[in-house]
Amino acid sequence: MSFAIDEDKAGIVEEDETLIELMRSSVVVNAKIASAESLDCGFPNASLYSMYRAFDYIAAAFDPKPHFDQKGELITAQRFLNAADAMLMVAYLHASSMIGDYYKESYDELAKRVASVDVSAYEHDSSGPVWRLREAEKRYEQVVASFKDTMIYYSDESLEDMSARATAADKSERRRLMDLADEWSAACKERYNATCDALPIFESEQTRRDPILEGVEKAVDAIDTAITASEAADLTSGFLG
Amino acid sequence: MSLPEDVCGLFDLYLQTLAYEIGELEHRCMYFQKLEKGECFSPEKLDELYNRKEQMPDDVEKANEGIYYRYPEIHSEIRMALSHIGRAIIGLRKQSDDAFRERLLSNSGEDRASIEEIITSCCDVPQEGDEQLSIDEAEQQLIGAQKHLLRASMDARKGQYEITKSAVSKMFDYSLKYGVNGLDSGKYISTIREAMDKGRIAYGRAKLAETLGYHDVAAEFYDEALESIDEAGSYMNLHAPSFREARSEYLEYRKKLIRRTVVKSLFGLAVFIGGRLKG
Repeated sequence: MSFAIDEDKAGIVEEDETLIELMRSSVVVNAKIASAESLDCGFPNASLYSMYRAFDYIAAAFDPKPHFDQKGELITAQRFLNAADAMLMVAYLHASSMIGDYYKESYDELAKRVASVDVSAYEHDSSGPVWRLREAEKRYEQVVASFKDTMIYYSDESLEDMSARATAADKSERRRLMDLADEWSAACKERYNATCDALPIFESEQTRRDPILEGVEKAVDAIDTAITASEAADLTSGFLG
Repeated sequence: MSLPEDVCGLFDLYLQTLAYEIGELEHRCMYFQKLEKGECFSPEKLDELYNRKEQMPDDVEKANEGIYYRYPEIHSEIRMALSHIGRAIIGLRKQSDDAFRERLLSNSGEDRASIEEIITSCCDVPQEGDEQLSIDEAEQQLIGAQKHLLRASMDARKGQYEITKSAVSKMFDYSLKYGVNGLDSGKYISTIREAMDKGRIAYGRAKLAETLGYHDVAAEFYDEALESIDEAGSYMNLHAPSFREARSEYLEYRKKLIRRTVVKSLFGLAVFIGGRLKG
């Protein structure tokens, strides 16, 4: 399929493949945004705005009117398409971060609840959920280290700065960043899921070691013993008497 | 092939209409938001807005993030338009629902690589029974995209009306405090009210048309509503100098009234105290 763009027009896209590739990226980003939307983690504002900007750049690449940048240089269609690709990446990173943050926050809440519970006795059972949780935590720590090293350049930046940085990066770097964000959100999800699986053990340990419950149980045992002893004494005296 | 022209036509539609409408919305937001919040009511502000209309910046097609956060529906429509264009362009193959369901179930679809794998399997690798999306079907997708762009355009016009109406109403309420009824031979208030009513009625009709799915009709009525509210705003702006005068006259009158009341009260008090002392 050809997109037959008028060659006489200045700064017009000539490469169909670039456009097809961009459109495929837009479908990927759309799916990612939908994935973020499916979680209860807020409206993906930054992703949608970035996607809109991508659309704006793609349309500008098709504009027969020449565009000049702030330095007065002609912006080629290729430059617009490159900027569009960068905006799609920004949209993807935001959506992926929302997913990761959702699982990270959910994990943090659970972890806070069971922080004081000692489950070390279960950590050596490689088929058990606690062992799997510890493994997931280790994987998260590894991933988060490389994620932080790379994303430090992107965090705390405005959308404009972020898109400028993304535009300056080459395509393979953008794909690498997207994969890194995926890896991070997958590690967040895995750690959260592993915590959910291990929760029954945490809860039973917590219940078992509850000092109040332990005291009550001891008191009940003592009363039971006293009653039994008294009944035994009664029975003995009745038998003898 | 007709499809490529349609694709270009869509981008052209965006650049020639929607981009400008979003730019106009941005322009109105920039100037009206302060008025709307009541931060700086003054006829000068209104004057600034209506005069600046003739000097639109070159980059009007770029909507800023602020507008996005206020009117996210416009950008959501653009997202949908992009989805339709994507479907038309990437070379999807038609396949049965069952076959597609199988493909989805065999893939987590959670990361970039797996989503791309699904797309590839739907585009590049023909399975038995798959057919290339026909030009007609691709055109249907582009028609879908066009509908979303037109809806976005309608939303942009609605936004323009809403923010302008909000600011003009606030300005009007503000001006009512200063004895402006005498302006334009006593027609000031009634003229503005009339224009605002016209706008409100057109807006109501637009909303109804939108609810019933007549988006083109809705867009026309939003335009009409905007025209009426602009009429009210421009008229208000036209009389800004007299309004300024009326306001200073009112403030002067108020000052005199306060002075007279205070003097009268003090005099009364003095007479009262004097009478008591004498008694």
